[in-house]
Amino acid sequence: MQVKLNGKVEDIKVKTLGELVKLKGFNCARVVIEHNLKIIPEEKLSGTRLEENDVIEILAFIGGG
Amino acid sequence: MNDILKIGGKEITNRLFIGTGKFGDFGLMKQALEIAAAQVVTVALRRVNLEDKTDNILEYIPKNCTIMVNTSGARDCDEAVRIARLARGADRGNWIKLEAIPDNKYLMPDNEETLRAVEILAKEGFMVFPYMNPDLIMARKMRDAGAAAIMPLGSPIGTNRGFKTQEIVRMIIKEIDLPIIVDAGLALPSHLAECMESGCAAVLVNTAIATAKDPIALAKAFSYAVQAGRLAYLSAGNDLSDQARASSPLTGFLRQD
Repeated sequence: MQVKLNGKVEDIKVKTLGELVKLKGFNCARVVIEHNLKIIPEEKLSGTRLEENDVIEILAFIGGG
Repeated sequence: MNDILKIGGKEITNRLFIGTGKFGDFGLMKQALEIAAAQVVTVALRRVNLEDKTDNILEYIPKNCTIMVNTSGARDCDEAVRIARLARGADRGNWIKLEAIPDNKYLMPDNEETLRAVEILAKEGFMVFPYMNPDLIMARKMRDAGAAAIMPLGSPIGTNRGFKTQEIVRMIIKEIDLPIIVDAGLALPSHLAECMESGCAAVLVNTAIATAKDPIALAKAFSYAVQAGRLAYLSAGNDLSDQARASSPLTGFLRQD
């Protein structure tokens, strides 16, 4: 299925947000994840099913003033 | 001297807030934060670069620091509110440096959009620190909307031009019973001292330290400047005068008349 991940359309084979994060190799402790404009806490990642055209944002803290 | 700043539900003693952008490396940043004994530090939130697995900046920020997440990148109220909520989702406390900046050339904040975001976020329990183009009436509205402090700009972000907005900011300090923190454009100890002498509660500096030849030494210099300015504000009590006022006695001169 196709989803939009950080602004880019991607073809993915995984079915849940948890699997996607694992596939991409992110450390959940340092990123914040938004799924269709809803913030998903770490413990709910594996229970969040992905659908066609979902919009996912994975963000992290960087330096800023 | 016991000079505590009560702000955002906390009590702090260091009035030099430091931004973490533009440092050459995190190790250098950490040393600058340590030498200045920073207690309040800003960070930004961005999309993760899916290929880049760089270090986590939060690990380089001393544990005693309060982290204030900025909403940089937001152009209006809605974008700023979204970033603030994401920051809270990342479990980094509830201090938000609120920026809504639609202008790319001078990076001037949109005070109206910022005010709207203050209203929303304060109701949601955030400690909101709005970055504003200094204006007394708008500062009053932001206070009434629940801002934790007001952050007027000294001069445009990254310009190093100093405390150019002094006259208006002094007005805000006098009239608004919230901590006033000058943010942006400050690049010399004299700029910081000037802010503190004027009665600002604190200052926020990023670019000048991060891009200095020696960020650690400059952080130290800035720390002294903030302390000196603050102490002078508390102790001096001198007004400007149009006329000269002699400092030596005007009697007992060695002259005939």
